[in-house]
Amino acid sequence: MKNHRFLIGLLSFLPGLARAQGEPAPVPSVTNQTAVNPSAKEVDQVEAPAGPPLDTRLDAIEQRMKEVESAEAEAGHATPARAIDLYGFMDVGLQRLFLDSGDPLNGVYPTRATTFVLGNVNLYLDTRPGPGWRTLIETRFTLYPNGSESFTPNYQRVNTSVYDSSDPNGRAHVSWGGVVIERAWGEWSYSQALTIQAGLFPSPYGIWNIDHGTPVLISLLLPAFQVEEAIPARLVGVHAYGSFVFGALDLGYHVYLSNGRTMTNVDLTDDKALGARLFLRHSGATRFTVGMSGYWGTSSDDTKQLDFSSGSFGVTETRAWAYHEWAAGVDLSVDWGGWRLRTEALLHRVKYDAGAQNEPGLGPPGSVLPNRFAHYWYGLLAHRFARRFEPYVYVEIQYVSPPDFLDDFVCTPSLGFNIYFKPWAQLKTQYSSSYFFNTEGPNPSNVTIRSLASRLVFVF
Amino acid sequence: MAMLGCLLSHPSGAEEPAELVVIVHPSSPVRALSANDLRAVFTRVLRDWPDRTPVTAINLAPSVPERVVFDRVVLGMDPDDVAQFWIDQMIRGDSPPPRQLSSAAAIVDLVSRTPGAIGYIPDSKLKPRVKVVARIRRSQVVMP
Repeated sequence: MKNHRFLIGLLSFLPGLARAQGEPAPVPSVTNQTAVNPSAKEVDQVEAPAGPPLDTRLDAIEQRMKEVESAEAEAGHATPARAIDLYGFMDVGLQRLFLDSGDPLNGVYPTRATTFVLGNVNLYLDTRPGPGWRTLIETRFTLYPNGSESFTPNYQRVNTSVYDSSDPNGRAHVSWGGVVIERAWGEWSYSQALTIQAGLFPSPYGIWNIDHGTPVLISLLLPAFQVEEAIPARLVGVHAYGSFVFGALDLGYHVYLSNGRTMTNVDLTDDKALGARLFLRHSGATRFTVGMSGYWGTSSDDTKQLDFSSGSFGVTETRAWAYHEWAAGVDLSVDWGGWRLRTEALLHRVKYDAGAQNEPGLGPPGSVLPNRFAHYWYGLLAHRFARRFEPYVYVEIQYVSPPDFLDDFVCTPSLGFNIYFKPWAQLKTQYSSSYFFNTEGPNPSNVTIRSLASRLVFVF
Repeated sequence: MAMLGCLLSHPSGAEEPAELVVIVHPSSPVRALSANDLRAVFTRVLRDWPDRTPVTAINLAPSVPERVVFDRVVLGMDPDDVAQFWIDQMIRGDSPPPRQLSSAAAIVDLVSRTPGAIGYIPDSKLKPRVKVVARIRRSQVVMP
């Protein structure tokens, strides 16, 4: 790069180079005598040139060359660019969960106090090594596992604090955090109708899981089907997608084959999970997308025990639990003027295999999740006015049959307000109340969770 | 990083240029493009031409007044909307925005050498080595 810059600097003293980067050199006009015989004023300007300093002009030239090189590489003219586009987002905020001291949900959430939180710190590494090829890695940096709590069955809290041995005082300490791989895939595009992707990818279903990040999502509160991952949020496998364009409409599809929901990083069975999405999208002054998504898969867990009973070393595997599941959903998003509508409905069925014990649940220690149907729906209506302000109403309903730990019906009305300072800086605030009911059990649940959350979101 | 940086810096307004022309490589089978077609191309919804040549859309830089006019007429978006649109696309992991060049001459040069390329320039910068497939005149997309 230094040689490159030196060459630019050297050449920039040659007349007309700056224009040679993109603009044609001016042809001296026959009638413009001042071009041939500069006036005294112009001579002064030559001796003491006005305008930006040399470094600024060199930066501009270098930037323009990068633009051309980048565009040419994408068009397939030049050697594939090795540059990585780095971008991402982060959010930080203040939140409070309003719970009574005796509420069992205190076991799930670590504090009832108002607390600052560091939310997402997500970094994207995006490369396009050649025409039609692309890789994308998104990582989330997090302070976890430090501070994570669990009851198994006794209360435990993870403490990752260690002495920083590189500190000259020898007494400083750090709490190490973690990295979550949100996606890591490579893809090759054969045509508009077919792109093949392999790796770890967000499951392409509905609106929420595709919109994915706080800068894009309107609401801070995740729908229950996202929290509970009625369809796994991300999967390892292969994914094909494409679309067919008809004027302002395009009809698109996603089909993916994956390990499905696994307890480890590998699949414990040979059967693979299958998912698909079909959508119709309209671009223009009124934008809308209507879609339907489906998922079918199995999940299981095994335990292993060393076995020396036969005189030689062996491992006995026992199927701990196993089930098959399917989910189907529909979604609609509309952007009309300042109005924004988002709604999704999803049905999730889990059925355990005969003879296989059910999966451990979130209830009291030793409890298991039963075969179940879960129904989810949410609707969100927002209106952006004066370009920057966006109040919205969000309502969510969840019905599970048979009831989970405490309830079978949850209703969550919510109000939110977003401020868009700039496209890359937003403030999101949301208040919500979740009402839990047990319509089938003997002890009606009367749990209510109220929360207030805000996030300052930055895109970089 | 530079791509987002360019996306995020934009002028607050722009004067209406006399006329913009949308240009493609001379070998392109495309004869004319409508506003819908252009929107699909410059939002990267349309990725292949009818002859399956990959579309290479080239934008002017956000600081160029013609870019602001083009986005307003074709995409129906102002600079903030455009920046938000591409931020959303990139956070979703979708296609990044079209590459951009700062000068009309560079766009003419690249489009004339690249089958599948498409760009737009002021009519006054038009050269015979490219083909015009649409014009933007008085805030409307019209046939060439």
